[in-house]
Amino acid sequence: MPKTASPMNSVVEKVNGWHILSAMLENKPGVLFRVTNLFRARNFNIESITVGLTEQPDLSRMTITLISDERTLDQLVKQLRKLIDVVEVKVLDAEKTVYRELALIKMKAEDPTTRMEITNFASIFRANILDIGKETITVELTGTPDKIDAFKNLVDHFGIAQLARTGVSALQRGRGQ
Amino acid sequence: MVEMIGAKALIQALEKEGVDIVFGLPGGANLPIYDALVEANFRHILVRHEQSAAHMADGYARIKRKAGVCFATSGPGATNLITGIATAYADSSPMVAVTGQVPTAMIGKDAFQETDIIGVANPCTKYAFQPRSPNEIPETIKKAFYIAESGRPGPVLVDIPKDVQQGSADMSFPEFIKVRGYSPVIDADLSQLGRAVEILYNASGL
Amino acid sequence: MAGGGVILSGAFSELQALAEILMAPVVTTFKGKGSFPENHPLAMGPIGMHGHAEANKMILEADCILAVGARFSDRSVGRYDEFGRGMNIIHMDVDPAEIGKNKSVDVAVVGDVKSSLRTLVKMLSKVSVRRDQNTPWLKRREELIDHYAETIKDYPRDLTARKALKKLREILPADSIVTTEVGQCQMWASLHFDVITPGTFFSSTGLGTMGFGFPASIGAKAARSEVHVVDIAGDASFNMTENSLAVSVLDQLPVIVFLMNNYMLGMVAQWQRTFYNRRYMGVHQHSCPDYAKIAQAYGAQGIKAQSLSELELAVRAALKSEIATVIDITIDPEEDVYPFVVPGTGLKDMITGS
Repeated sequence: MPKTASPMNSVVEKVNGWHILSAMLENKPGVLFRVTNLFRARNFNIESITVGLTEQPDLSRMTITLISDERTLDQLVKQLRKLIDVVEVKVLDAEKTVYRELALIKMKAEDPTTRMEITNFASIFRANILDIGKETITVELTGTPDKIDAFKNLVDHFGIAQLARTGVSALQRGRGQ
Repeated sequence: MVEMIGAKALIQALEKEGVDIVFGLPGGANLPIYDALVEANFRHILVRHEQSAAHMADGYARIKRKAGVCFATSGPGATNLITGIATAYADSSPMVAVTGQVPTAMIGKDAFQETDIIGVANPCTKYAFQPRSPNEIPETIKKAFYIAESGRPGPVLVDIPKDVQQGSADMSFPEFIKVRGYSPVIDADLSQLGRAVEILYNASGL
Repeated sequence: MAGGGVILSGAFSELQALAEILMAPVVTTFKGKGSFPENHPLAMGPIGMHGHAEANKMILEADCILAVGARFSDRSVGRYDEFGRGMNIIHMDVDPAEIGKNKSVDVAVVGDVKSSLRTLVKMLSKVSVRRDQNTPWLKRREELIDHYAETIKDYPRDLTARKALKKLREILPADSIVTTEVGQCQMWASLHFDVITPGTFFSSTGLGTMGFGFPASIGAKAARSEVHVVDIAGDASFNMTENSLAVSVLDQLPVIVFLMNNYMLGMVAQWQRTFYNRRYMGVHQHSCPDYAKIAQAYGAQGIKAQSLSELELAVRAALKSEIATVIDITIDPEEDVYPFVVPGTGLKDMITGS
């Protein structure tokens, strides 16, 4: 039987890092499809993706977070730039960027002690309580992905009924675009 | 600005691009285009299968070094082009494929001979356009040729719904267009060329 | 290493000027075949899976590779970790996304290759890099060509794929346009058909589409009707798009189909012979259909050639004809394409069949 293809450049060390990209896209139907289809077809594994309107009505801003090595990141950026509806792609320096994510977390909260603990945590994390019922409490939390992970880990043992995260949006600090 | 129907604007836009031949096969969804073709200044070659239309346009492009043009109707006509379009994409051949599509009001309703050809062609084209009103046609064709022939060449699809072919509008044929997200590099960076010269100068014999 | 980008950009004279100023041997990728005249003293032909053995050997011995308009496809380079190891690699390409995609390089020059090559030649002539005919590389090139001329397997029959294609090249005018189908016919063309005039050869190399060659040859004829156009075809490929004979005849776009007919899905059969212990499955065409009759049914000329002399007569007749001609050439179904680089192995591991 023939051998299958050997891995490319196996001598190169692959060190993974967490990266944020910001892309400006034409605000037209079908653009999101082209972008996500590209990720699928070229096997890029994305952690989160958000897209929304910007200060210019004909452009959308897309924020992507992923874990990858430098070489994969380089290819992803180049392939994205190649798409005609992608106007610009920037790899953001996490230190020079403000980035936030929104999470809605519904926790089981039947007994009074649990409810009090949850309320305390919410206050410490500056989360808003959106809904309180006999069996559950739902909070809204905005912050970096790490902050959201931290809150989630704290409340895990209460039992998380449902969790919805938006993915990261980001802007460069200062005057940078 | 002149008033005319979309199909006529398509033919004129192609003539302005210097097209001298197209390869195609008519069907219900591109009848208006074929009616406008009767008065065209370029040659039409009738194929026996749309796949061949795309391959002929590709072969033409490889020798002429400008975009080859093929026509097909909606649904199976368009999907028959796909092998030829994908071949051109894989080999960076410039091509403009013009397909008919069901009327805009019928899109997405599983009409007769309808396929989402934009969706099917997206991964194997440089770009796929679907003009939604007749006056978009001249600019769309100009952009299609620009994208197909510049930078790393490749196929571009233009999918025109039947009512857009039949509809009338004041057409203006732009001299210049710009595609915001597309800027192919022509002139290389001189410092990189300098480094290349260094390496080549020092490269040894056996 | 010249790739398809040289042809897309029309950078033939620039490439030749560069090669001559450096006195460097020129190999091409398969898509780049036809970017450089194959009868030039610096030419070594295509590298890769069915590349010329001497080209495959030469590129592994280089100390510097200048890749122009090529994308380092796995079919060309064999193993990525072996190809270009220990050498400087300069990559010139119009598409920035190709830089570093398959192979990391030392210098990247992004831009239209015609313009880049022109500037590069200017810069090189300023530093007077001009070398002479006595460079050791040229001797090595001769050595390798002579060596492999002996070792690559050919068959002792009167009519083999190699002999047929050499004969075709003998008779066909140098400015003729040649394309191919996909499979053994394509790889035999890569190996045994030399392209003399740059820009006159193309093939479906990226997607490898069977049935591409014949309609594409008709399109090429429409683009340049004053030259002869030939499709080097296999029977299974031609069968897929033969209905374009109607177009060729009715629209007066005569082409010549050089049908290398072994009534097999030849390349698949070769793989089944080599890797699957001759367990043939789905490859026999059972002498069906009669291609000369098919041609005639469409109003074209159909000529059968079962010997080298019949082949010669058929090609001469086709060149004189004003309508399309299908030359149905009998090729032995057991004939394999050599040399052969097995996927997953390196260029140095090529199988020569001897």
